[in-house]
Amino acid sequence: MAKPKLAVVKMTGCAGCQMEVLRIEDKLLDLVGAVDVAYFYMATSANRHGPYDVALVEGSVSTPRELRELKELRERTKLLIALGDCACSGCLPSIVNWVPPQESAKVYERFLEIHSKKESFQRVYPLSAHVRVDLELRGCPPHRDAILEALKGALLGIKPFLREHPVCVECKLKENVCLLVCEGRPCMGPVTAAGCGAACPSNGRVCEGCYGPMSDANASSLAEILAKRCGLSREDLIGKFRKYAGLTPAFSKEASGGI
Amino acid sequence: MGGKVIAKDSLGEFVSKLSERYRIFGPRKKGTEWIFDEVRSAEEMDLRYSTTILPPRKFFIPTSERIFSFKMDGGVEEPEERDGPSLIFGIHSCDLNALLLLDMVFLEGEFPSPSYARRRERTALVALTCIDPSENCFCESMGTGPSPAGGYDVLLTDLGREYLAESGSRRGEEMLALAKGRAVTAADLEGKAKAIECAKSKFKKKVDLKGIDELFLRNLDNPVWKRLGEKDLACGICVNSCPTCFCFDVRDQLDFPMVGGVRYKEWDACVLLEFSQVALGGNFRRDRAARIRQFIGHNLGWGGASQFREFKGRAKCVGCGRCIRYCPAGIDLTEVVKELRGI
Repeated sequence: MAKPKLAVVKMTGCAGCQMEVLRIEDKLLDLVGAVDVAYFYMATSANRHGPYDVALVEGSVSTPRELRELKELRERTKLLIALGDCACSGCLPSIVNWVPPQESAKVYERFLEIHSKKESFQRVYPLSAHVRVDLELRGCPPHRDAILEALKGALLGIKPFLREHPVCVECKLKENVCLLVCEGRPCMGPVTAAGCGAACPSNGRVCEGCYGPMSDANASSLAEILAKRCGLSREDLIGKFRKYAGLTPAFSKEASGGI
Repeated sequence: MGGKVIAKDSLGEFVSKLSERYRIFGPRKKGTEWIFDEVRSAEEMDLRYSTTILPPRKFFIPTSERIFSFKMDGGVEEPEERDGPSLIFGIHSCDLNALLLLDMVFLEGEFPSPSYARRRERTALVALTCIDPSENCFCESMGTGPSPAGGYDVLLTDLGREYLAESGSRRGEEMLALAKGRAVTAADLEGKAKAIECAKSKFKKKVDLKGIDELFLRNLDNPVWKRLGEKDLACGICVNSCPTCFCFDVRDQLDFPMVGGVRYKEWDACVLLEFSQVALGGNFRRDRAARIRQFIGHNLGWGGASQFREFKGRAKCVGCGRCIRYCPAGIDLTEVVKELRGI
């Protein structure tokens, strides 16, 4: 039986998620043994066009060319997996959706001369806004274990087990001192999906929310707590909820200032 | 059972002797909080601790535990338990009573757990009378403190310059034989009684247990639950810090490449959406209100209800106060009871 063909494709993003695929390290050779890596620009120069059995797609869609490529890819791919926050929820590139063009011009002196800007959409959206997505691997970047779990699921034809409960679960089970309750710091853990192993709180940093909303995120309650307990302003709260997953239904209200 | 009075500066020597026989786990300071952690000497422990982030059940029901490994061709291998005798030093009365409640589930229940039984058997317990309950404690209301009536091997009570050490088992007798100390007098026992009375005067939170099962069953549709559901973050902190919550999930994890894997179990929490999800996405408690009602109801109410008889009519809650202390949303089950009573 021929090995399933895998493609790793990039749209608008920082390439950190594909990097994470390479970080599978000790399992990478097993992976290469189990699948035919047909397209992976970061890893090989022998890239082939589809059809593919599985495609891991990183990045959000910000240009007409990307949109065309994504639609073609969808047609040539059995299982299309959104890899990371940009692909799942827009992540950092999607912040542009709330920023008026004149604001961007303040940051970039010759804004209109930026090549990608000339041909790009006004708004940036995740893959699911344009095509059917079979699985979303969230995180900035997704944890390597989740990538493996997804690939295992794809190879076996079973539903992968991905965490949807909040970071607080992983954090508490590690017996970290709660940064929000005990130190009054603005942690996004209670509304953020787990899977990272509570990486930031375990190192004394608040959760930034990079896995996006957990299965039943109560964003309005947390926003109220962060305002009351940690003294966050309306602008602070908008930033917190907009940063990684402001386009998601669970965070959209808080990401737009509660309206 | 016998006892001894141990001078505080002899405690280190006692712990050191015990450490030759047992791996000792005691309350250790971590930032603003405490955790039960392995210690090698009395100095590493803070016996004036308030409470720990995770309850001692973590030693008996690990947060994640391999049940067995399997090969795709059919081989199954159970993990070997190599751990020797261990000792939990300074367990408070609430947490000790929590273990006695868990015993009803995992030793005396319909489906006893061999691994729980092994761990309980090999773990000695040195309990500590609580002389300074925290602002969130209400063990007195639950009948689980501030000093335990039994279930310990040794019970320590702080008498000022000395500890009254009472043994509660044969193992406790053997342990106390290692301690340097003087005989117990009537004045020492009186000192203990006074310390307990003094502790009781410090409780700020109380729960009235009168007719509590009926109270909860009568109030299943009380608007209080909807209001709590709006506040509730469903973060799972209350359940994971609870000393008597015992729910777990069982899963298979395949290796890569897929020649085998492990079946493991890990703590689960009824306040999480996934907990009551079944095939095809059905969910018995989709609303947060229903889930927080389940957590609080199971802890305080419906102990007598037919489907929750695991504690033989007793309340599951031991009043340790962790779920109050660590709730980011400020949900306080003692206040919820008052609201249900219309106080």
